[in-house]
Amino acid sequence: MLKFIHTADLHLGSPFSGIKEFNERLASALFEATFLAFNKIIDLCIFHHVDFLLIAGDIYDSEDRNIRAQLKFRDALSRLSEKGIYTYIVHGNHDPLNGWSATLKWPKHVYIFSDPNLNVEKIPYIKNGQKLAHIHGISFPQKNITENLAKRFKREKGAPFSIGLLHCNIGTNTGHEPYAQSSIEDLIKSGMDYWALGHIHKPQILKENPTIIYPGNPQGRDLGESGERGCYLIEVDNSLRIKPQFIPVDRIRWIHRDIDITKIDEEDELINLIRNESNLPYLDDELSYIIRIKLLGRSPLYKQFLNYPDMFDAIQEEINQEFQGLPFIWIERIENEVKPPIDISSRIKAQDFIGDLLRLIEEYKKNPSNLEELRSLLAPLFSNYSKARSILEDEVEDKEILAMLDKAEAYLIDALIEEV
Amino acid sequence: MKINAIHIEGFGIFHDYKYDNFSPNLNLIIGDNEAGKTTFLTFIRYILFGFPTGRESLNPYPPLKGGKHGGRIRISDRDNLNYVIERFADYRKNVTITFPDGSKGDESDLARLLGHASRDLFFTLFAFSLNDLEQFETLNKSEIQSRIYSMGTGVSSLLELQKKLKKKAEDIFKKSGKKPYINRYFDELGEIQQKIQEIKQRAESYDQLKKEKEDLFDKIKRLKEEKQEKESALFNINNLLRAWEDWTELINAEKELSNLAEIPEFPPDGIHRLNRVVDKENDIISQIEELETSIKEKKKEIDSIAIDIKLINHEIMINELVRGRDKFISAFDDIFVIKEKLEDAKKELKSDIKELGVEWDENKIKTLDTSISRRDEVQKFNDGFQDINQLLTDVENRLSEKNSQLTLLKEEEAKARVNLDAFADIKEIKREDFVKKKKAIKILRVTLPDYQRLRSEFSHIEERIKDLESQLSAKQREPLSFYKLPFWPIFVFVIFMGISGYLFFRGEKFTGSLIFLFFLFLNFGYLFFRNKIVAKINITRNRLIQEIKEIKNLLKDEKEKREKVKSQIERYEALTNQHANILGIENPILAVVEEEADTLEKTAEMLSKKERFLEEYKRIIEKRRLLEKEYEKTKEFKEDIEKKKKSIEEDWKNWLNKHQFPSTITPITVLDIFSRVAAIREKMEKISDLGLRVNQMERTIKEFKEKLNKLLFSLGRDIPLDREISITVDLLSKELAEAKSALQKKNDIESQVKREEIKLKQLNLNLEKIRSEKKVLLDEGNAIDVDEFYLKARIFEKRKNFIEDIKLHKKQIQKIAGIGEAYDNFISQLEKSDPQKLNNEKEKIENRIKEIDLSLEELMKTDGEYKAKIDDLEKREEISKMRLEENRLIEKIKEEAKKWAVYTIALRILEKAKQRYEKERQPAVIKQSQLFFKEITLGNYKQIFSPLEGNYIEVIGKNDERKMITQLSRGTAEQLYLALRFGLIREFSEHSGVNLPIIMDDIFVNFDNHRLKAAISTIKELSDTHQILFFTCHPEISNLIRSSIKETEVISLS
Repeated sequence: MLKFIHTADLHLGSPFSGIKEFNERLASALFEATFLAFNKIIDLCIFHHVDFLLIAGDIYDSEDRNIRAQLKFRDALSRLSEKGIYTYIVHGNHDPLNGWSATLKWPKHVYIFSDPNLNVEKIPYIKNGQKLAHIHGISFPQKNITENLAKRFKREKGAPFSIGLLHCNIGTNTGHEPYAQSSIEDLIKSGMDYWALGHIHKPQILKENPTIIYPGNPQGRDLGESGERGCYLIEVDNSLRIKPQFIPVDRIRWIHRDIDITKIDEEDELINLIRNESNLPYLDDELSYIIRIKLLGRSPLYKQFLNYPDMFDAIQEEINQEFQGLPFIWIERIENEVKPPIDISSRIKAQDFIGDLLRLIEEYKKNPSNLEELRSLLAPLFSNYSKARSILEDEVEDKEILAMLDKAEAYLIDALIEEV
Repeated sequence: MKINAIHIEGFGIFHDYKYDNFSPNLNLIIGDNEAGKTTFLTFIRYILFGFPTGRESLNPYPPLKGGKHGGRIRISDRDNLNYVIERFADYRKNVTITFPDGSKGDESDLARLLGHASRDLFFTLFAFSLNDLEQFETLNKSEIQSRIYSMGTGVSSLLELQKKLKKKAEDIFKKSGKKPYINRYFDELGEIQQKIQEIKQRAESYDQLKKEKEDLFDKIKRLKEEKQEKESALFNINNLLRAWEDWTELINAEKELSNLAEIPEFPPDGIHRLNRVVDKENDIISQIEELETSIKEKKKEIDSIAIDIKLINHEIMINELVRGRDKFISAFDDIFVIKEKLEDAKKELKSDIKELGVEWDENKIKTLDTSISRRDEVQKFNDGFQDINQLLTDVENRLSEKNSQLTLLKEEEAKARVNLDAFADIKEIKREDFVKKKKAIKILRVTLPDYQRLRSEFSHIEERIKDLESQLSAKQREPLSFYKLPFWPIFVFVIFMGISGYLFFRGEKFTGSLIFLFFLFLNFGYLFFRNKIVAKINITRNRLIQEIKEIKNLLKDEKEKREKVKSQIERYEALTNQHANILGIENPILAVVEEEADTLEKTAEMLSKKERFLEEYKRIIEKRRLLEKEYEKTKEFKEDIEKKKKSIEEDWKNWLNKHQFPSTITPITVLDIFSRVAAIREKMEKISDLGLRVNQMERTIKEFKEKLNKLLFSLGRDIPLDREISITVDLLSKELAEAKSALQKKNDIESQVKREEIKLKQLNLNLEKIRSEKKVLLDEGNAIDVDEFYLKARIFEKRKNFIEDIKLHKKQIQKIAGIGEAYDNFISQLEKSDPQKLNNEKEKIENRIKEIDLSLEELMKTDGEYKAKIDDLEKREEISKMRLEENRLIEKIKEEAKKWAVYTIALRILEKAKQRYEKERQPAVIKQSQLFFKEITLGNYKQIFSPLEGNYIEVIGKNDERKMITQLSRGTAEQLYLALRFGLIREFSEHSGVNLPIIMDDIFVNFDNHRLKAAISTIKELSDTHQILFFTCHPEISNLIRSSIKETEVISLS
């Protein structure tokens, strides 16, 4: 009866983060990726003959004043409009109504919810003279919306299939800012048949009957957004049963690989291993991979890594060199978590200096209050250095300090034991 | 390990010094100054660890009182097994160890016995003097250092690690600084963020730009409309102006046309056609006139031509005369000359014949045979004479040359003779002898030095044998048996035991058993003691026997060698004498042999010279003999030739007779006569030719004259003189030609006249025709005469032109304005306007258009700029790129920050661990030493403290005061060093399992009485585990030790 695609958090033109080194080719692939993913959504709409496309906010980052992103967005919507497919849009915290946007003329079949006073607008969807659905939506008038907007949504009596289109944060600890914080209960209470949500980047079906879906962002932009990314194709049959289907549209997929190199003691072997691990099968002609490799274990290579810190860049470069053109496989980083091949458990028992040192580290690890001392040790850079504060403030959580401590331990042990 | 006995064979002042009563615990060795305490100590050091190598240049303590430099020490190990360590300074510094079972060991066995202590370690820790004690540096040697901090971390490397960590952290980040990575990245980040800000601001102008562009578009549109309007007005004005000229012309033409009379019709092209007819008429008339004059003149000319027909009739004859004329003239001219030539030739012939001789006449000349074969015969004679004369001259020349050569050879021979005579008294020597002598010299040169060498070797061997024999006899003199304890006391003891038994049985039970037991004990004791001595003797004897055996072996070898050399010498002697005899030398010394070789060489040289001269002389004699033979041969040859010459002369005379020549003339003269006769014969032929020619000429002249006369007669003309004949013929020929050409001319003109008369007739017909044509044309033009025709024609032409003009202009205007109503409107506009007004208006409009164009251009440019700006903003990917770059930098900063954190944390942990270690966990050595130090200082100091990274030691007093070594009194410092050594000794023992003896050389000198006592008690304590050799020259110290430690073994060196 009804068929539509639900997407959100396009973040068109927003940059990839976490990439330490890239070349010109990769750079252009990166800043095209969000557009390409969105275009693929448009292709899907046309291919599946959907009735409309729902976009639940964060289309682009107004902060960036990216005209090109907005133009491309408009151009993509024009393609839908030409086919008579409607697009319904609400804005989120990254592209609020008062945020900067270029003055553009929107295509015919595009509707943007834009009541500045947080009133829920209701738009009927009519096909062949038959009212098939009501689409309700509120856009963020400004960035900081803390109000539970879901509570404003109410299904009309006798209304057809009702959809809530909203950018909001459901639940806690989502890793996203608590804008328009709400709860599943609130959503259910509204009586909507389908909640087309945006904001949380991980695709997920929160609930069925009524169906509450976060489609996630169609293109991951950092390692935190790894794995498949896409949109939801929703089919509603005559008895209003909802059949959601996730369709990946991402062009560049982030992949994490842990490699234990305990048994590796030669650089060549290491390169081969990394090469094999990163040699992912190409799923289709359009999907590229960015891989982050983490080397783990205890290996005699530890010393080499220490003495030649550029080694990883070199390995990375060598392997990346082999991947030319599109689609590509790009090793974004090789993280070195390798430890020297020294048995700490026996060393820690020794009544000598190294034993003392290891026990001291153990004390730090076991007693989190001791970490405070290290935190303040790092403060000159991580929190007191004005330029760095915003970047590094979050990097001195206990977890990070423990990791640093681990590395310091490996470094010291290696340095001291060699002297024997 | 303990020292049991010492045997110094020779070392410093000691000679054959023996001591074997060392205590396994404390030994007090007392001696005054120069009694040899230090020497004793050094001896033990050297025996255990070797004599110093030259490089160390220590005092080697040479044996001042004799004896072999070195000696031996007997030691016992933990299991009380005995070892003898023996070492001598000059015996390659090799050590000999004798194991309890008598087998030998080497340096590595010794090292094992010494617990692998190094020389340095032993010298500083176990065998030290006051001097060593005072020098703290001796404790600093790395081995000891590492023992102090046996926990396994090099102190200096820890410091380095700290520095390295600090540097690494600072390379990454420094609060103030430009270079560290993070600082640099932040600078870059700042720049990028600045750029991003700029791009954002630019983006905000997008909407404004779009609005401005729209306004601009309206303005442009309005201006474009106005421009179009103005342009159409301008177009109209331009059309009017363009048509203006045509318009005025049109009006003019219409006016002119109305002024002309109307002529409806006129022959087309009338004037032209009339002109052509009139021209033709005139032309024909003038042609007729011309022809008539020409005919008249020609007829006159024909009448004037006259012709001589007779001449023409005799044309053939005249031509014949003309052809023969040249021949006649030449004959007529030449005949006298040739007649003269003939006469001259006849005269010449006569004189030539006369020259040959009176016997010659024309007839004889004609009959003389001058054929080629005859001439050849004469030529052959001539050649024969010439050849033979040449041959004769050659032979004579050769003879005289040979003669002079002979004279030269004779001189050379005399010279060679003199050279040869100079060597007359040189003695000859046999070649065989010479070779033999040379060989002998060669052999002697080799054998003599060998012989000499062998003899000196022989005397060396002799000396060595003597030396060995004296050594052997010395060894053999050494006693092989030592004094042995006799066996008989055993029997005495047994007898006493028997007596005691008797006493026992007698009832003296106590006394008996007591005596029995006494003797039993005595008996066993004696047996034990005796056996021990026997064993000792056996060892010494065995060694001696071994040495004698070795010497004997050496002696045997040397004697064998001597025999071998001796036989070689004899062989050489025989060889030398044999070859010396050949040379005739009695005393075969190398110098004499060389002298003989020299003489031999010189004689050989002289002989070879003489031989060369003799050969030269022989060669000359041979040459002379050959030359004389040749001379004789040549002479015979000359006589042959002369004979031949005579026979040729005979033949020649015969030939002359045969051919009737005088007998005295030579062949050359005969050849000359032959050629003269030939010349005369040629002249005779020439004369007969000339006679024939004269006859021919005379005939020609006569025939020509006859012909001419005949012709002249028939023409009726006079006969000319001989010399005018030629002119007459020329004249005739000329006249004939003239007559012939006149006839031709007359015929030509007559035929011309005939042709012209025909042409004249035709022309008159043409004239008639053209005149009738002219009449028809005039009638058509409705004109009476030619003049009227012309007038009418001109008017008609003008009218036609005006009508054409009008049509043309109208068409031009129509082209601009169009036809129909548009044309009419246009014409009415033209009627109303004037060019001045139009031009003014035109200028006005044009200026306005220019203005519009200028502003349009301006506006379009602005529009373009707006468009470019908007396009630019729409296309910009900069922001994405910049954000990507920004993120990249942030990532780098994060990464480097983490590295910095790791280094910083590592540094902190390292520092903390170190502090803790220093505080809580001093090394075991320090702890041990601390106990000793506390004891020796009677509790005045409670702690020794050695920082990990320092090369120094601090002590902590009972009141927690810290002191550096430099702050301690001399005595206390020495006590500290002693304590440290004791601590280290304990540590070494624990690790190596070997307790080495401790040797101390008067180290308590600076200790006060209380501490001395305390120190002695620590020594007592140590002596439980370690053997101690304590040297002193101070009686109070030795007394104190003796009174404190009862079981002290005292050894006096004095």
